Amino acid sequence: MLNYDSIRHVKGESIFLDDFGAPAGTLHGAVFYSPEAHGKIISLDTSEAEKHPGVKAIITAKDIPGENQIGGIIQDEKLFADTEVEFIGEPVALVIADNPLAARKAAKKIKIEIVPLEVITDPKTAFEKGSLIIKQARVYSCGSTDEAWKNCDFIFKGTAETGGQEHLYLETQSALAIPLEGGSIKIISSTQNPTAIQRTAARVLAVSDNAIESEAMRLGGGFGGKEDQATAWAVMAALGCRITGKSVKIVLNRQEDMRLTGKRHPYVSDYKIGLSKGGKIISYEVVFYQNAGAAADLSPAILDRTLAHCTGSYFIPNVKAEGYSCKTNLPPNTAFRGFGGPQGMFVLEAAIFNAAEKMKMEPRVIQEINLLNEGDAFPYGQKTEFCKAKECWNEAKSKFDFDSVKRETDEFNEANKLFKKGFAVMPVCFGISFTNTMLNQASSLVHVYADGSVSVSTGAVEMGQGVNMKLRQVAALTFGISVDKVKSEFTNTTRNANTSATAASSGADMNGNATKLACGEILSRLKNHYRRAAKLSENEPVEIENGYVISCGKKTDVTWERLTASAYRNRIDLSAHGFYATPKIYFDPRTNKGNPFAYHVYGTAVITVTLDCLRGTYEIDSVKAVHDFGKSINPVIDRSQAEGAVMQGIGWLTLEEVVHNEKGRLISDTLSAYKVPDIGFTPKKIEFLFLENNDRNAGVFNSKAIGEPPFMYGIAAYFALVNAVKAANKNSDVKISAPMTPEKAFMNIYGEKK
Amino acid sequence: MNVHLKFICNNEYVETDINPSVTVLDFLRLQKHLTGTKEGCREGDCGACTILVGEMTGNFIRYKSVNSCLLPVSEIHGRHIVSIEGLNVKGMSPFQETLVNEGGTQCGFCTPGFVVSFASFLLSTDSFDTETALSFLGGNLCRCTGHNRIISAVEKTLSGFNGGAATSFSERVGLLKNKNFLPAYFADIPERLKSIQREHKIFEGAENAVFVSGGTDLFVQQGDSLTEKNTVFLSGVLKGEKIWIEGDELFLSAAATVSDLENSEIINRIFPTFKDLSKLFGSLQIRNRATLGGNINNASPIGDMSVFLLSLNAKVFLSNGKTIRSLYLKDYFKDYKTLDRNEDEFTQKFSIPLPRGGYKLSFEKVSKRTYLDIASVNTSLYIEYDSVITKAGLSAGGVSPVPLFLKESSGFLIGKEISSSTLVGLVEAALGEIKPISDVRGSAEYKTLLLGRLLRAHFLKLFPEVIKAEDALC
Repeated sequence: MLNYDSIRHVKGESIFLDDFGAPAGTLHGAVFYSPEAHGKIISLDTSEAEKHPGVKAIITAKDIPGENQIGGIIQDEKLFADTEVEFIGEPVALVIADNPLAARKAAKKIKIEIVPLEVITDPKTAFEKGSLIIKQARVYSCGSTDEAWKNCDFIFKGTAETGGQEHLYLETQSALAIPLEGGSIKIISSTQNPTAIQRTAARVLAVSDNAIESEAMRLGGGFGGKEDQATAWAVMAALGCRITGKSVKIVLNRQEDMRLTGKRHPYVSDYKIGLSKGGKIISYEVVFYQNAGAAADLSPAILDRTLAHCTGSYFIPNVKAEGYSCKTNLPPNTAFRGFGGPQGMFVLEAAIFNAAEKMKMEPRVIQEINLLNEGDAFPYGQKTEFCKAKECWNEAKSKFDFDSVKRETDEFNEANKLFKKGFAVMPVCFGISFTNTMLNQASSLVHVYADGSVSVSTGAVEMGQGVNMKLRQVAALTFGISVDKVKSEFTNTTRNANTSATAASSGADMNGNATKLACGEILSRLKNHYRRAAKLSENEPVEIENGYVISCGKKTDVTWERLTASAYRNRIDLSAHGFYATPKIYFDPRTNKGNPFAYHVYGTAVITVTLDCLRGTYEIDSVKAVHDFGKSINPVIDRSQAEGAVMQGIGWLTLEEVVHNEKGRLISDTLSAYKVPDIGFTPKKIEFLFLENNDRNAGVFNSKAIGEPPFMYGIAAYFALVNAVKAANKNSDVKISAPMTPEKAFMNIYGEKK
Repeated sequence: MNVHLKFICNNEYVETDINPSVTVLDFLRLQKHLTGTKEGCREGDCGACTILVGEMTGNFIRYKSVNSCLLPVSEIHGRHIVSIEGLNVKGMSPFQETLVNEGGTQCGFCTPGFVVSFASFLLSTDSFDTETALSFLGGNLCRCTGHNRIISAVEKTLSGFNGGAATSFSERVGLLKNKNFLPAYFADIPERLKSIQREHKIFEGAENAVFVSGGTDLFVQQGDSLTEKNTVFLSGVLKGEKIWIEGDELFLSAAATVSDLENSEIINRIFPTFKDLSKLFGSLQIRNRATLGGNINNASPIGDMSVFLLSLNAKVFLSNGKTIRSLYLKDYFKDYKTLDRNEDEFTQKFSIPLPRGGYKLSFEKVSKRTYLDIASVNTSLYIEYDSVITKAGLSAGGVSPVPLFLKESSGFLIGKEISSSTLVGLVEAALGEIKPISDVRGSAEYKTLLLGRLLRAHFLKLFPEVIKAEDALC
């Protein structure tokens, strides 16, 4: 099976936005942004910058023909700041010049006067000062925690923190706007959400949606960072295009990308957990303080998923989870693989870890006895169906032999002073669908050309997750032909309208199902055509297998190509549009109850680490997981996705540290200061066992979404490190604050107790 | 001011008039429209822009992987540069094919860089094993796969690969061509390169010169403005031997790269542990370009080579093209990023007294990530000893505004026995000499405590028969 994306990648032949031959005379934009985290703009002087050689235009808020507004969920984000700035990196002006260097140099000559206002970077401080994105709390609850506390043998309280995370897609944010006739503009950009760009550009330029053609070719990584935050640059390019009449390209360099764009939301969370003597969790209360940054972006939706996943893979009868989206003076934080889920699950794992320690039990004992069963209800009301929580756990427990892992770890620690090992287990349950029910819709436009080749256009953007290949497989499977006959097209809003972002792990599911519907329609026309031509009755079975027509169970010599050519000559419509709206999902945002997810993905992982007690550095020894892949339609893609996700999760909890100073300036703003897992950090062993099944409630062809769920196995790395630190210094009072950088590991061993 | 350059780019002979400070990345992408080489960071940290630079040495062409984003075009005069486009064969090479089959590529943005780095391994290795291969891929970052699928592709590619040290260039490229790893045109490159040999200039001083050595930091910091400056490329000035012995001193040219040191027979004989510790300096792509002169003159308070040379009591030799003066390296660093150097001077070489008698060297570095990262704290300890310590050099980075020679602590060690009480005294002396600050690489408290532990690590590593784990952990 040829995955042509991969073949082009390895030969360097894939075309990313900056590789695309821009029209002759294309101008280049550079963003001038606020140097202050909060303040009133007193003056903006662009006169020196205008004189810089090669400068063609400098665009500010006053040049916007339509609305100066790019907010998605809430209308609280301007394209260009005009009276007030709220974070360092907030765009104020766009300089357009002959070449990128001239634009950047000119941007440095812009002078801005700002009267500073108070800077808040911490979510709890924001909460205390009433600085919130949405004033009221979001609350998910079930049972009655107030009643339940009295039934608990043990009650523990604590705080858990998780840090931000830089997406670090290797291809930075980039966009190209090309003028078309009649005032229309074509925008090609590196976005997960072409429709958001179309709508936002139309709004800013005061034109109708059909005047903007928005396209995404392929992305050099997205991870959520190009779901909402690709929009500003694309809209700026379009605005530049409108004003200069020329094509305008904007490609952020790495440092701009790191400084100007939002990241994974840091959270500070307070929990209270109540358990029986045996370790059964009876009651759980948690308050999440989400650091949203200076504008809503997708924060409210992300907070909802945090609340939805606050009970992780466990059944807890009494839950009260509150969430506050806190407004701070940082770039608006945004979608990132897991979409708030990891932050929610981390807190409960911290609570279980704390409880286990105080109750002198192993965390895995508490984890195991509280796992979800078939029919258990989540705090949002939905009940598990085809629940695989225990199946995955038990399989992992026996295949990876948790007891042996424990024994070997203890023996190693007994025998070694300079190095200590630790391990932890992490069960995952992750809901698949956009939490906003409206977004769970997709369309597919399928053309079969007379020569039998097939073109599939959907809203799914290829960003490395292999959705192009999966869609080709869906079309090929539906038609009964070879994958080589099928091409996946770039997403373009003139072919597919009103697309949802390629996000929430749902790209292959939704667009695959839409493609299956469209192909099914064409297939049925082709079968009827064959019946007519072969003078068969309406009921006689006709199939296509391996590129040949099978008539009444017998292979004919009619090839797919012959059939399509014949259908064309007989004026049969060889194109179809399929539309898929995920069935049976609903959610009431007032009660926070419903059936928001099409299905859940399960799994269990065990991670082992070795800590260098003298230096505080560590290695991840192994990652082993049993993961519920459904009936994988492409195990090569799915395995690579799973491994990549877990390594990104481990990175979030170990090396990756987003650091701002008290003035709100990002100081980890280069790749030399922000470290992600490299080849040397790769665990010696990564093993994913496929729990295959044929759940009827799964995705396309019973496959399951893969993008996000394995990310959360990374949480085990954090607690494995805590265990290793405690083995190094049994008196260490580890503050649960991720990531566990080598500095934190070291200070937890040697630092003065605070 | 443009210069006239001649070189081979993939299979094409190129002659061009060009600003010498344009990066090869921009040359490839903007002028040759070869877009398989990607810009990921422009700071040498991702490897998406990796290319090969081939240089004639005798009849062999040595290919090195480098970050084209930090490589000025002036440095490729007379050389063969190879981008992903110049490596492609008909269909796919075995490595490309296993990458596809193993799921070793997802979004594809980093992938060409990995393929190029792997080619540099194939062209220059003596042993075709996975571990060696991975050491060539350390400077390439993949954000999608988590690298394990790439490692798996390397393993599969090399399983059953027969090949050993090549005796000639044609033998090596013949082997790789037969296995479909390399296009046939490589065989003719030596002949084609011979006609365009590099010529060296005699440097007689320059007004307002910006001296460029390896450029691996200068192009990160000032890449945007170097095309407007009077750049003097020291590779054209500092010629001849890179590493040699004269009398009782070891000399290192300022133009010697970390890779030169790593592969030097002299260095490996005198400091057998250097080869391993050098893996902690940057990535292979960086080590192939970063020079001693550049690293020292960058004056970073955590410069790895600075700390290394300080412990060895090195001297630095400065030239203005007419006269030469020398001073101890420890006196060269005056304050944060301030050196005892006149504007018209550049570093010519360094000297180190040859070790005598029983001597030991230990280098320790702690950073967030083990490889390709900047130290939170690094430290080097050099000791000559008999029954007692007769000579000692202790240095540390990340604990003061300059790479620090710990004078008091080094002095403290003289005349002392190797013992746990000496270690305790040393730690106390050293912590009294440092003034770390809190920054993105760690808090002051962390750096202080960490240096204390790293000094214990020095002793534990060097004198395991005397110093025990308990002494280090206490």
